[in-house]
Amino acid sequence: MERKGKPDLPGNVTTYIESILRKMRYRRSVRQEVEAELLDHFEDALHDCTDRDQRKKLAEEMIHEFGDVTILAKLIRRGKIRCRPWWRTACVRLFQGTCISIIAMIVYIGWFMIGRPAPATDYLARMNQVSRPGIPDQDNAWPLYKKAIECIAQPDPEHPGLYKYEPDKEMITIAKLAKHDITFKQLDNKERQQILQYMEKNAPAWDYFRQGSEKSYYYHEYKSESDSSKPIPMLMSVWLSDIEPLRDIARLGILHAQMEAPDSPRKALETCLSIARAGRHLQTRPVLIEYLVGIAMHRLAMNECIRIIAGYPLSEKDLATMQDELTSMQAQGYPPIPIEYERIAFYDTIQHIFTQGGPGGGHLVPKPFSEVAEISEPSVSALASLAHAGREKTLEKASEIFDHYEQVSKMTPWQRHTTPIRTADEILRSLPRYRYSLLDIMIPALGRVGEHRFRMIALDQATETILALKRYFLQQGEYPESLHILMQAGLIKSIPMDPYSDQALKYRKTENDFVLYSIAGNFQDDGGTINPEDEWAQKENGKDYVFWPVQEVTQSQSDNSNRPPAVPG
Amino acid sequence: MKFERELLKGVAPVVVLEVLSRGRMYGYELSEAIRQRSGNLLNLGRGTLYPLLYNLEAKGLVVAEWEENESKRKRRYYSITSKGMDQLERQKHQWVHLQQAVSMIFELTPGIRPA
Repeated sequence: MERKGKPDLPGNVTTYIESILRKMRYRRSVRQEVEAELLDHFEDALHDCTDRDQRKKLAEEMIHEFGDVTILAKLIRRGKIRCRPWWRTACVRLFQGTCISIIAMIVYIGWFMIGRPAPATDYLARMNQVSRPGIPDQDNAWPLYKKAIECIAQPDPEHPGLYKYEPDKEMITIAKLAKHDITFKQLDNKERQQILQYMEKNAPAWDYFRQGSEKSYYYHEYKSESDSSKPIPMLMSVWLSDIEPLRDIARLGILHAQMEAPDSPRKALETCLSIARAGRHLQTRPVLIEYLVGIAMHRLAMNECIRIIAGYPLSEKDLATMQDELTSMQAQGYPPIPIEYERIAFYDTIQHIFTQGGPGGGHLVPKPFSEVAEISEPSVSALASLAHAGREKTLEKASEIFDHYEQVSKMTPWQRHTTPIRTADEILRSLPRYRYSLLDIMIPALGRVGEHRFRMIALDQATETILALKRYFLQQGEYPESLHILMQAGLIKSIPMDPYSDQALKYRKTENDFVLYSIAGNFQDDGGTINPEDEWAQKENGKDYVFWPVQEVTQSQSDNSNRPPAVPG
Repeated sequence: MKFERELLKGVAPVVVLEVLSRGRMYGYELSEAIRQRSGNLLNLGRGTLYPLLYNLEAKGLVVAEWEENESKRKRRYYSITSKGMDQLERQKHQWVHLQQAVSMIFELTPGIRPA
């Protein structure tokens, strides 16, 4: 309500009213309404007074009666606010709430963005300290392995059929042989010549490797690839420089065994044992990748042993010697899956990408998070960091998953199959994804990693049993009806166990041979038949895993297959 | 003075409602009516009047409307609502009781004395 034309009132009145309106600090329309009403009031009161001085005096008296400007303005404002309709009050409150939220959000984002991680624990140094065994240096395999790695020569890249250049690793691998679907004998003369040249060039590397495998332990310090200016390096950036070369030398060893087998199968078996020992060295390392490569080398060696036993004549003495060697190696036990390192590596990552202290124990910092999670868009990493759970909650959930992995890694596949237990995937799926995206990205899928260890143990026991069965055959002229008869004959100390049934490996005597197999991952006895596309029955159509007789393997099998190759000739 | 102010504060809403119950009025008219009807004894501070009217309006006891009068001036007229009438009845009753009680204590009017 805006008044049209102001009345002729003394200056002190208009000043007084303007002061009230100014101090009201309220909506313009309301102020205009109050102004109109107050001007009316004074106009009415002074209407009958014509003398200028009297008007002024009367006005002063009225102003005095109206009282203090500030108090009056406050009372009028309060009264007008109370008159406000509910929807306007709701709008005002909503607006105020939004403003406060925006200000709070700006303050929070400001505080969030200036947060920096403050890593305090050097997990790398701690791991190096803890993993160093208290054994004299001369018993350490590392100096010899190091020499082997230093003098390994690359294959000739001019033979693409035989070799494969892997640019990401800057390495040429013996692709054809690495697939294990071709043996040395199956190569043509030209290819054989190439391989022989390759082996000759790498004879020193193989010698060092073999000497190293005789040592009782394997230790070397882990080093970080990360920026050396950082006072505390990240475990994630640990450089595992020895894995690839050692795996390649192990493959070279398999070539040696294949070459030695026709003339001296016993020597070939010893070569395989050297590879298995080197594999065991890697299994004592705390990093999971090293452990798994160690298992792969071990299985490579055992599969080659079985192939040699199947393909070449061995005396009872040779078989017994090999069995003793294998038994003594088994007696050292099998190191558990090193989940602890993965846990520590995750904790280390946390301390490098979360702030320390504050609400929730700290928050995710966008920049290091984007580097770790390889997020190129800064806004995405900022939003993901804002939405992410705090440090304590993240650690709590990660611990739950790692505890689960620890528990599961000790269970045989059969125990896992029959025990109702939540999988890590189920634990992860039960969490809000945006709150725990780091767990999704960073925690490796280790649910079935324990199976590799149990398969290796089963393969070891199967190899030992095959050696004993061969010895029995040489002694008795036939194979036993059951493994219990083999045990009663004193050729094995215990029945080999199948981790997929927690019962004995399946054994059956055939006309002139025998069958020894695991029921594998479908947990069903398929009578010793196999599916070459799914050797441990990890998928729907899988069948059994047959240790003996050695299976024919097709060209289509995967590069990483560790199955025994076809028996030559 | 303070005592009088406190008393006025309590009685002012009833007085305003009572005056408005006899017809609608604008601010100045209302203040003059109160002064005259109280024989110049009750002079509701002008500074109190408008905040009081806004509060009564907020409570729904009075309503205000802008209207032009004969001299073509727009004024804000206040009138009592039915809710205001109810409130006035209640408060008048209470006021009479209070007045009697206080008068008895001051022995201004005859009444029942305690034994």
